[in-house]
Amino acid sequence: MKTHTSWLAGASLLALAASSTGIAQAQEVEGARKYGDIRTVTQRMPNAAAGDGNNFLHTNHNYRQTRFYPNAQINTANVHRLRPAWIFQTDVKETMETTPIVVNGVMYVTTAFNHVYALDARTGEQLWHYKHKLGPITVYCCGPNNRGVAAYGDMVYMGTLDAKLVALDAKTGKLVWETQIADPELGYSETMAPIAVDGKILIGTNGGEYGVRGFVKAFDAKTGKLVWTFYTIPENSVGVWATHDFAGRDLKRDIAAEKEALAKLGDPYKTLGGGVWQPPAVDLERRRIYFVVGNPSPDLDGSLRPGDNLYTDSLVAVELDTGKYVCHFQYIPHDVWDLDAVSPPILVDVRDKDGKLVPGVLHGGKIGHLFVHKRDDCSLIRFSEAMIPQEDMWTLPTKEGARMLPGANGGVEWSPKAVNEKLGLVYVMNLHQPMTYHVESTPYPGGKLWLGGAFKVIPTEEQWGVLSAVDYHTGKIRWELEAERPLVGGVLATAGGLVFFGEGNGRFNAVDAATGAVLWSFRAGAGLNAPPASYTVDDQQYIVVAAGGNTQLDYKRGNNIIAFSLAD
Amino acid sequence: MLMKRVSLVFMIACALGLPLAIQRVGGGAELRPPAAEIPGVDELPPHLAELVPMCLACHGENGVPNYAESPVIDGQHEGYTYIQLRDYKNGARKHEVMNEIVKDLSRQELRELAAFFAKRPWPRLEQQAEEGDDILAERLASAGMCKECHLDDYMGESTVPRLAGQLTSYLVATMRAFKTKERANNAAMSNLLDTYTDEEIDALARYLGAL
Ligand code: HEC
Ligand code: HEC
Repeated sequence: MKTHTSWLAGASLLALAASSTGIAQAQEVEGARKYGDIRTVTQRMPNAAAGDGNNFLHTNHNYRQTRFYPNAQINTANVHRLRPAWIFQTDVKETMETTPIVVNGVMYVTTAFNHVYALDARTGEQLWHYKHKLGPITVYCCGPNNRGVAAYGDMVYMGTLDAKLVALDAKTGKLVWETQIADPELGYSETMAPIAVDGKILIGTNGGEYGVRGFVKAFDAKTGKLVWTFYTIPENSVGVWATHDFAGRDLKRDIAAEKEALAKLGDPYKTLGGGVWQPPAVDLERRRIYFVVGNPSPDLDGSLRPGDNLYTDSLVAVELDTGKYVCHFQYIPHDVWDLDAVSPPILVDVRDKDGKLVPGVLHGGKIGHLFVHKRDDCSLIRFSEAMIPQEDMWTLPTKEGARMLPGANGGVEWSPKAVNEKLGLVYVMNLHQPMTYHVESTPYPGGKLWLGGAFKVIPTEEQWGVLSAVDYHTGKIRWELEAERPLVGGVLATAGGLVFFGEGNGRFNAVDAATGAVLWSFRAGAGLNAPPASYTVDDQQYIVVAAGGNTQLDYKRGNNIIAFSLAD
Repeated sequence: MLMKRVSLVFMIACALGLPLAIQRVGGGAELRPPAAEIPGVDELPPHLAELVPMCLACHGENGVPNYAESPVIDGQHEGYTYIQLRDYKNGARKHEVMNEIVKDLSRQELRELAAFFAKRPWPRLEQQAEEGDDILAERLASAGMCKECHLDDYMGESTVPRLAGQLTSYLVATMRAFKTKERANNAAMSNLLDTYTDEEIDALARYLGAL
C-alpha cells in the first residue's frame, strides 16, 4: 500500500514532534525544513501513483485516471467516525472545481480566478499563496473555474483563464516562468489541470463556445517552450458523412444540404471548436495519451459547419512523445446539441465481446451512456444502458425550441469518474436537466460567445442527479443513487470499499462501493461540486474536498477546503 | 447624424452640443476640466489624455453620466471596455458618436483608454427600483442564468460587464437594443433577451440599476 514510506518515515517522525509545539515550529514548514527537498516530484512517483497510498499526485490520482485511492484505513466499518480535521478558507468565494494535490504532506489547491495555495496537509496551515495577475481580457463560458495544478520536479503548474501556463516554485509559490498558450481575445482560456509526464507539461484548451480551433499542447517542464501541438480539428474535418450514431439512431442530417454548404463555405476547421478541457489519460507502456474532445462551434447551428466535424465529440489517442494522431472514435458526428465528451477517460482492463480481458478505455458521455473502448484502436466494445432518461433523440433544434432529453449539460458533465477494478465497477455522476434546443444562425463573431442559438432549461420540469455504478465488463448498471439536485463535481473510490461524492446542496457522502448504501454524510454549507481526494500523512488517512459551489448550475458559493479524518 | 468624416475637434464640439439627440441626466457637461487636472490622466500619452475631457462630457466628470443614454464607464472592467471600443471601431456595435470617436485609434490606444477608465472608481447613482421589481427580476434572471456569466453579485469580470449600479435608463436602452439586434455585437445576449418582454426588461434594468 505505502510505496514510498522508507525515506518518508524519518521526516514524518520529525514532523510529528514539531507539530504539537506551536507556532514557532509551525512556521518552519514554510522553508520546507521538515521535509528537506522531498517535495520534489521525480518521474518515478507519478509512474507509481496508482499504488501510492500516501500522496495524491494527479487530479485523477494517477496516469490511468482511476481515482482509486489504495489506502483502507478509512473503510466501510469505521467511516461513520469521519469528522472534519481542519478547514481552510481561501480568499475567493466563487465556484470551486479544484482537486487538491498532495506531495509528501504539502497540499496544493486552486480557486476561481487562478489563486494557488500551498497548505500543510496535516493542519491546513497556509504555507504560501499565489495570485495570478489576470490580463485584462479573459473569455470563458461557464464560470471562472480552475481544476487544480500539476506537481512535477520542484514546480507546480497551472493553466489560467487568460490562456497562460504558469510554473511556480513549489517551495515558495514564486513564478518561475509563464507561457502564453493562445490568444484569449479569440475565446481561448484554461481551466483544466495540466498533466506532467516525462519532462513535458500537457494541456488542452477551452473555447468550444467561441469558435476556437481546439488543441492539446506539450510544453517543456523546465523552460515552458512548446514541444508539440495536436490540433483536435484536422484540416479535413469532413469525415464519412455518418447518418447514424453508435447505437444506430438516426441523426436526422440533411447530407445533401451539408454537401452544398461545404462546396460553398469550404472546410470549417479554423473555427470548429473542439476544446479539450479535461486531462488526458497516459498509457506509459504504449506511449500514448487518450483524451476526449468537446463540441463543435457554433454549438446549435450545423448549417455553417458541414461534415462530421472531426474530431469533435470524440475519444482521441495521440503519441505521447510527438502528438501524432493514433486513433479516434466519434460519438456524435455533426453534433447540434452540445452533447459532447468531457468527463476524463479512464484506462483499465475490460472484457471484450468474447469475454477476453483486453486493455480498455472508459468514458461517460453527456448523452448518458458509459462507453467501453478497446485501447488498441479506440473502437467501441460496448456502451451501458442509459443512466438518465433519453427522449426523442435526435430531434433537431428549431427556432422556437425543441425538447429532447438529455439536456445539454448531460448525462455526464465534466465530473471525473472513479473505478473499483476488483468489483469491475465505474462510478459515474449524472444529471437530469430538461432543456429546449433553439437554433439561430449567426456568423462567426470573432471571439464572442457563438452558440448559434440558445439552450433553455424548462423551468416547470423536475431536475435531479444520479450516481450510477456501472459494470464495465457488461454495461449493466449495478446500483444507482438518486440525488435531489443535478450532480456535478466528481467521484473518489478507495480501497476501504468506499465511494465519496458531493452534491449541489452541500452534502458530502460516503457510500458502500459494492451496494451503494449511504454510510456517512456531512453538510458543508456550500455546494460540494469538486472532485474529492485522499492522502495519508503521519499514518493518518484524510479525505479532502473543496466546498465552493458552482457557477454553471448556480449552487451556493463558498470558499472552504475541508479535510476529514477518523475521530478516535 | 454625422455621415461624413469629421474632425475630432468638431466631434468634441458636437458632443457637447448634443442634448438635442441625447437626453440630459444632470449638469456638468459644460464643466470640462482641462485634461491636466484629471487624476491619473498623466499616465496616458498626451494625445489620448486630450480625449478624456470629451469622454467625460458625456460619461460624467465624476463618473455619473450626463445623459440618459450614456453608460457608466468609470470602474467598468478593462477587458469589457476594450472589447466595446474595439467593436465600435470595427462597426460590430453601432452608435454614430462612439463609432466616430474611436475610428482612428489603434488597438493599443483603445487598450490604454480602457485601462484608464477601469482604474477610476465606480460612481454611486442612488437609483431606486419599484415595488415588486426584485421578486420578478430574480425570477427572470434565474431563468436566463444571468449570474452564470455576470457572476454572483452582477459585478462581472474581465470581458463580462458589471451590471450592478449601471444607469437604469441605459440598461433599458441597451437591453432593448440587444433584443431588436440594433446592438448586434453579442448574439447570445440578443437571443436571450429576445425571450423577454419590454416590461420584463424594464424590471430587470430597474433591479440591476438599484443594486
Ligand atoms: C456625445 C457623448 C459621448 C462622448 C463624447 C463619448 N461617449 Fe461613449 N457612449 C456614449 C453613448 C450615448 C453610449 C451608448 C451607445 C450605445 O448604446 O451603443 C456610449 C458608450 C460607450 C461605451 C460602451 C459602454 C458599455 O457599457 O457598453 C464605452 C466603453 C464608451 N462609450 C467610452 C467612451 C470613451 C472612452 C469616450 C472618449 C474617448 C467616449 N465614450 C465619448 C456617449 C458618448
Ligand atoms: C452566456 C453568458 C451571459 C449570460 C447568460 C448573460 N449575459 Fe449579459 N452579457 C454577457 C456578455 C459577454 C456581455 C458583453 C457583451 C459584448 O461583448 O458586447 C453581456 C452584456 C450585457 C449587458 C450590457 C451591459 C452594458 O454595459 O452594455 C446587459 C445589460 C446584460 N448583459 C444583461 C444580462 C441579463 C439581464 C442576463 C440574464 C437575463 C444576462 N445578461 C445573461 C454575457 C452573458
